[in-house]
Amino acid sequence: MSGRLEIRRFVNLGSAAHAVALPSDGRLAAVGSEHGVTVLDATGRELLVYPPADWHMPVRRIIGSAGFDQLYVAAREGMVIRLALERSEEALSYKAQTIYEAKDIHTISLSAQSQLLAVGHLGPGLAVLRTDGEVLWRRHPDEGNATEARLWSVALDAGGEYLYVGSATSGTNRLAALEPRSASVCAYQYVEGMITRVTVLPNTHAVAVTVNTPSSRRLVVYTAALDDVIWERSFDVPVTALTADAEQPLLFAGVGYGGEIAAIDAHTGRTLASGVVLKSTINELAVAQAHTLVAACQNGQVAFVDYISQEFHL
Amino acid sequence: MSKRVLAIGVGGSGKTALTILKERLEETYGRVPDNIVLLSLDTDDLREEDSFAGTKLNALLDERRREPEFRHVVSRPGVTMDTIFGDIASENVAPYMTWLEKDKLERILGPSERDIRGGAQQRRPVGRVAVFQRWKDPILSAITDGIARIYGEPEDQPRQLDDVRKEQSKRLVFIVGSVAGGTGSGFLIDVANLVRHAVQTNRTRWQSVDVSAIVVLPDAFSTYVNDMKDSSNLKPNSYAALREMDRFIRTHGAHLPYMIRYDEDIRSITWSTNQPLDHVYLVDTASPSAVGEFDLSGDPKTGVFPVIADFIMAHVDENMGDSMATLRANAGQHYNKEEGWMYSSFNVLTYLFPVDDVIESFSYRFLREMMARQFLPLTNRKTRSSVEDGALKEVERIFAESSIGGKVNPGVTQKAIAVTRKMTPDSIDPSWPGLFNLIALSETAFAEDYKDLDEWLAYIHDNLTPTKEGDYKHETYDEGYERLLDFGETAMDDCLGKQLDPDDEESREDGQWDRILARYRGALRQRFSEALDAALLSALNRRDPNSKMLAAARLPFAQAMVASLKAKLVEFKADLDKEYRTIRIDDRLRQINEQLRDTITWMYDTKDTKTRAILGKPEARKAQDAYIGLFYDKMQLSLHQRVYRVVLDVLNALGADEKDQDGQPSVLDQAALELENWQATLQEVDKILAHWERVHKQHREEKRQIRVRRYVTDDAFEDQLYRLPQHSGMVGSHVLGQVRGETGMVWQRKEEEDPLYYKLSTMWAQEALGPEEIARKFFAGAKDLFQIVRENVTIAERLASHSSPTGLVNYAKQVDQPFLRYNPASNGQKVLNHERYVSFNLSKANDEGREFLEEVYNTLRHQGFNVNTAAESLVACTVVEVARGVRLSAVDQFRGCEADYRRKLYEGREGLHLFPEEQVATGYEGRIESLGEPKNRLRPLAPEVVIAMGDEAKLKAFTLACAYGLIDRGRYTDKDGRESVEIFLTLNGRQMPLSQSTQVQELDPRFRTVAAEEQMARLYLNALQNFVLKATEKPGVPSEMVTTIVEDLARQGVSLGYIETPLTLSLLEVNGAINRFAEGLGPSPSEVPDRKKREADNSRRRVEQYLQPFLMEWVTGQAKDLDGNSRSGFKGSPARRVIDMGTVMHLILQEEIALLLNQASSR
Repeated sequence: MSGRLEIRRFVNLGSAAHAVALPSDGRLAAVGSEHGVTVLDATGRELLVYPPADWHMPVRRIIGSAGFDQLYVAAREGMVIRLALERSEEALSYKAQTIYEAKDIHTISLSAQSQLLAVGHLGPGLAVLRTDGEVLWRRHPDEGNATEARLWSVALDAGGEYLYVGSATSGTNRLAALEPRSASVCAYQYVEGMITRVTVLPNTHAVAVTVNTPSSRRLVVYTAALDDVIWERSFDVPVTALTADAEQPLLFAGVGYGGEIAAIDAHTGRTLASGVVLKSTINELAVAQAHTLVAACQNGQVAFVDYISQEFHL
Repeated sequence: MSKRVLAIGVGGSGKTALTILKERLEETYGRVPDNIVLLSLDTDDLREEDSFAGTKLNALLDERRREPEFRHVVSRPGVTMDTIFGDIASENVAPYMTWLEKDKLERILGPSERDIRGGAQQRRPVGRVAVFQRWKDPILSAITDGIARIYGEPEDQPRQLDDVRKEQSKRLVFIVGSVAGGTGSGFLIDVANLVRHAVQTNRTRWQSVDVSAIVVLPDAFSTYVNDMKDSSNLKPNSYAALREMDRFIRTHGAHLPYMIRYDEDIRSITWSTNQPLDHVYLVDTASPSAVGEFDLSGDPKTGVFPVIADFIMAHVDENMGDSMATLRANAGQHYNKEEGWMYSSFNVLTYLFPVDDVIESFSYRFLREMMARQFLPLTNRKTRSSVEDGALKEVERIFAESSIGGKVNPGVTQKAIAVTRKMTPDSIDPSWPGLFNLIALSETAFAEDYKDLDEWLAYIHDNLTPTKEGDYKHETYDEGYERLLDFGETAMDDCLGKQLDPDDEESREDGQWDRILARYRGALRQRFSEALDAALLSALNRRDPNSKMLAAARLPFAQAMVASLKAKLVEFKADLDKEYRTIRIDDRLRQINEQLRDTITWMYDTKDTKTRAILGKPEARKAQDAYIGLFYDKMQLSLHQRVYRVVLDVLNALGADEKDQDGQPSVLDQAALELENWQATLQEVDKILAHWERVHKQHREEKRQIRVRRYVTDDAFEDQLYRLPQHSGMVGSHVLGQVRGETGMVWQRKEEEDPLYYKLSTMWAQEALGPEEIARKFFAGAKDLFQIVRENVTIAERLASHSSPTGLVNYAKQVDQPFLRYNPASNGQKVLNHERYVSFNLSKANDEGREFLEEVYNTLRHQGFNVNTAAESLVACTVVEVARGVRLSAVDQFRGCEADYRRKLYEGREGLHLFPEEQVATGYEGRIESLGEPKNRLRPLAPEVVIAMGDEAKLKAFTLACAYGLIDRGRYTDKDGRESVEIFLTLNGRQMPLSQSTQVQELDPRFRTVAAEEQMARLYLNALQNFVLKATEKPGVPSEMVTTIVEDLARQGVSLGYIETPLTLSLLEVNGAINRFAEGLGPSPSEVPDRKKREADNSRRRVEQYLQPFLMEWVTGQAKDLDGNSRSGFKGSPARRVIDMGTVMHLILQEEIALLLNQASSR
């Protein structure tokens, strides 16, 4: 093993936590739950709750810009809301704007550099829009141009050069690299099994996907052109969450219904650290600076976990 | 007091049945009793059309703060079927959603069907998804709350009881639904499971609960088929649901704890450790004889649902319920899980006197009669005329007096009455004192004001002195002229007021005379208002001195009084005007003003005269004299005119006109408007009541269509009942009269200080906002009063008047078969047990009724009926038949659904089953024919095997482990040193017992009597069950959770048998061990270096050495055992469940053998 994981803190949100995002400095965490969005600082203190008061807005996914001046929240009831955050000394304030509406939003991905947001739908739909809400293209039954496959996971690379999409229909599925602005297909693979997560590995120019069949669960890393498998691993239990560090070749996975976290070498697939068990299914993971990890759990817990690499860092 | 019953309705059928039950409860008890809780759960919201005869379930707290009777079960916000599919695909929810055949459902659901909020669309999986979304809130919380409410205090529970008393003391839970649709069919088993879970969780407090299901079979919906988008699921759903239920009630028990988990929270884990339902009643649309009134086909609202409601009602009745519990205590004797004789059915016929409906009818009738009598416009000309005459006479009488009800009656009114009366009318004094006297407020005030005015006139007279007289002897005529004109001007300014318009002499106001006269209108208006108010209240509240009842037509009478009085004032004003015109005040005044102008000119022309006249007065003097005379007359006439105008204004203010000179409505118009408004409001109330009455009649007609009820009433009887003094007479006395000092209805001032604004205080309401609220309160009040009817009518006398004892007996005897078509030949050797009941109340019957029913009682009790003569309900006679002990495969509708079920199942496009056990089992069933055995055909596998088929991987692992000898028999010694033969799993050197023979013997009375081989076969089945349910891991249950779960199971008294570390055996480990063993069969690399050949040989060895022999010896019995004895194998067992286990194993082994041989040949 080349590192270890340590739980720093638990925060209980009181309802299932489905999504989490961290800024690049890892000092805040935005968590999406059955109630809405909660932004916490590193000590677990609540800085912001959206929506306010008694109104509930169940959140499916949440992503943020590197500096956390913008948060993009995919609400389960069918919209993407942009929260423009402003920080004062002790508090956070926001301005909310709905930038996209559709009933069946499944996944979202952001390329802050290129100001693009990709949306994957539960149904047969994909879309890319600018971060101000202008739709660049959309494939959706509402437009009469539904995709063949459904349950789309999406991942934009940081530079916005490629959009990786993976479907999760039963049987054979599509994994493709698209030009985000035009939707033209740059590369593709047909995959046996449901692609349930897609994560772009920065710097290595690779893409990691989780693939499930009735009899197997695999984590597969493809080249950027999807023409070769760099490595793959099988798991006996489900991989319920997957995230990649923005700088270091590190993947973190939520494994099994007991909520185990595994740190994985993105180059080789080797487990670098494991053994931390959160006792609840991890719905999503986020990492910053290859060190700060936050897990959103089904039982409403938000776990702050440190990954401590064996390499010495001051 | 009624029994304690919780009735849960699932789906649309449950909702309707509960609505009809509620109607019966309100009919019998006046409202849903506190001991009864209704709970409807549906994915489709409560709509207007979900009512029956005006009764609807409450979706909110009711007026008694009772919890809602209806709960809309919808997914969490934003969750659609696509969300569920996404979560399953990403495995976030997989551990508790493995039952959902996601792929099939995903393919088949259209876009609009993916929103669960629109109902389950006849799809069972969608219904069950709704349960999983909301299992805790509202489903479990509502169930727990419902049981808590019916259970009562722990001290209420009797302790040491015999079986009958124990059964009688049980709290009853009925779960009602159909199996044909999506919601009821998708909810039924889980709701039953959650009921048991609630009871189990609270087992220290709730120990005495009986849970029954009443299941509507699909034929009930044959009339709805044309309205359905897709009716092709009705029969497949029914078969699938009944199959699953059959497995639950026949196999689940403490020895086979079956887990149902609803979400990630460990508290959502429930254990089915007993049959979830103590009784299951199936309801068809016909009895086996299916003729005439015993055919319930058609609209289920008039047949199937009412019969269910009435069946539950029979249990609700305290005494009837006890009666049924007595025989129900022995119901277990007629059930047999192994044979499947677990189902019951019933037939109910009810004779009803619909006392609640009758009370409502009486209430409407009474109120409308009262409204017409007291308040509404009189339509009969003669009556109207009589009332108007009476009112006129009253007006003439009372307004002629100086006071009315202690209030001063203004003189002007008295004078008006006197002047306008027909006989010897008074005359009018048109002089100004005479006119002034009309408006006198009092003698003193009149005297003072009159004196003031008179003194002014005297002052004027005295100061109009001509020149050369009195103090003006030395004055010149010129000076006199000035003086007199000045004085005149000043006098007019003072008396009449400053001239506002220099060109208009008449434009003088607010002089002293006006100030004296100004207060008369306001004061007289107030006085008249008070007097009129007293008169009207006296009229409105007039009662018969003997009966104390309000006189009829009070409102029209008061209105007539106002009209009469107004006519009087108008007439008086006209008379006054006529008299005033005769003295021509206005003309004379005009003339005098002209003459005064001339005289002033004359005075001016003559004012310089200095010489005396030789004869008579000088011209100047004559001019002055003329001026003085004219001026005085002018002032006198002006006063007269002013007084007259005030009198007119007063009359207008009182009512001679609509308004007074300031535009204020007159007193009489104000009073007329108030009375008119009241009448309009009460007319509206009457219209509302009339509408409600019409709707009520429609509802009664709707109820008469119910085929399993006989309403023993008719219009003539109800009319006679209504007219009884103790009914309408009594109510009338209370409402319109005075009873024990309490006045039922009285008109009062709304505010003490404001006359002529009224409220109607009744015994039902002091205040109401608008006609609808008045109508509601009146109706509620009248209905409350008419409850007395319940004491005075019983079913006994109604039956006596409608039928003969023989007739009733014969009819009761016809209720001898349940509403369930079944084939007795398919029920094995079991003849259904029939219980027959009749219930009525004898104690409150009159002589005629008692005699009638005693004869019925004596006849029926000797004919096998349990006759209860102390029913709680006085107005119902219920005949109930319950049949117990039928198996599903004998039920016509179950069998009739099988073909559609199989077809839909094997099309493979749609998931019908909600549990992995049946999903896997049906897959194997579909392959049975591939075995090519003429006697082994496609059939439903035995539930004892199906319960172990929830995980196909486990099933295969068990079978292969048996074949490879990792699972085999051996000797076991328990901790007490007792030895037994058990089935063991050998894993990594450890031997783990899987079977528990002592338990098998307890549950299977025939175990000891069968041969050793058969005993072993049964132990293998037990081992399979334990392997799947107790030994191996469950998905999503990590090892840390297991300890808690095991402790919980121990608390529930669940035996985990000889399983050492339950729920921890890893399938990976078992498969690993199997693979290692199989690979260990060789050949080794040294024997066969070529890998492919080696693998091929290994495959062949597996087949030849283990799989095939096991199959032949143990499964099919085609091979002898090691000792050379013939075997029958599992498939030769006399027990169906063992045969089925063998069949499944055969299919698994056949597949594995084919795979291995294929691998061998391809290498």
